[in-house]
Amino acid sequence: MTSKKILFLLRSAPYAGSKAYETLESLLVAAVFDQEVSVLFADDGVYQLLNEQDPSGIGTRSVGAGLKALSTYDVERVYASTQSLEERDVSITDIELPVDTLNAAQISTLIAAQDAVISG
Amino acid sequence: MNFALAVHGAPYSSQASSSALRFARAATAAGHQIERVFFYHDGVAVANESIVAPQDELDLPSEWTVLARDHKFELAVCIAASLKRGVVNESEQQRYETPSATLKPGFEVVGLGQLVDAVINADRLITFAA
Repeated sequence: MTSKKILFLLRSAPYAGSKAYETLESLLVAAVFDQEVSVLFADDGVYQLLNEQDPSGIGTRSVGAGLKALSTYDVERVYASTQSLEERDVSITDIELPVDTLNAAQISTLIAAQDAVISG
Repeated sequence: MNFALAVHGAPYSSQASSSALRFARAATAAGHQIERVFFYHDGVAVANESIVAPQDELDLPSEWTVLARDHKFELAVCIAASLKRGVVNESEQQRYETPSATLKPGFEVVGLGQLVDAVINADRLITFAA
């Protein structure tokens, strides 16, 4: 099967509707299809990375728990926007996943290298 | 060029479906191809057969099915996203024993693999966000 470079640009807060979880599901399917998947958390999407998420009180699935599957699916190119982290006071030590932080110029380079960007 | 389209916004609540339809019309008119239109998130709502469009507004569900028929591309609706938004085809209606099937003919309920498949086969993915 043809392998394409697909960046998942995760910009939604984890519990602002279903978008974050649904986008995560499409990300995992792309990984199963052996595509060259990268993930970038930006804007409110960086809140998905916070530790100890417990959405049981609002009757929804845990995005944080779902993200732990990334390594199982061999998704290893995981990035977060430095600016988005700083603006929201999310520190790298709050984060469950091993992520590399990227500045705006590095994000531009990452996006330019992709065949497709799926945002959600 | 061969385009894959992703539509993330619900019709009439968001401009996504209308903008995507106009893009698809312009692309096909210019001789381009549409690999597939993949409706995801709230975008799946356009496939609800019970939608009654106001008389003086664009009938988005019907316009989509006419364009797709004329240019032979698939209108794909994500199954997981559509079930929880009340868009069910006949087999899912029987499986979950809902009161009625609501999928408009011309749309197909598919898995997320069809989104990835469209990206693989198309030259470009164009996303119409909510």
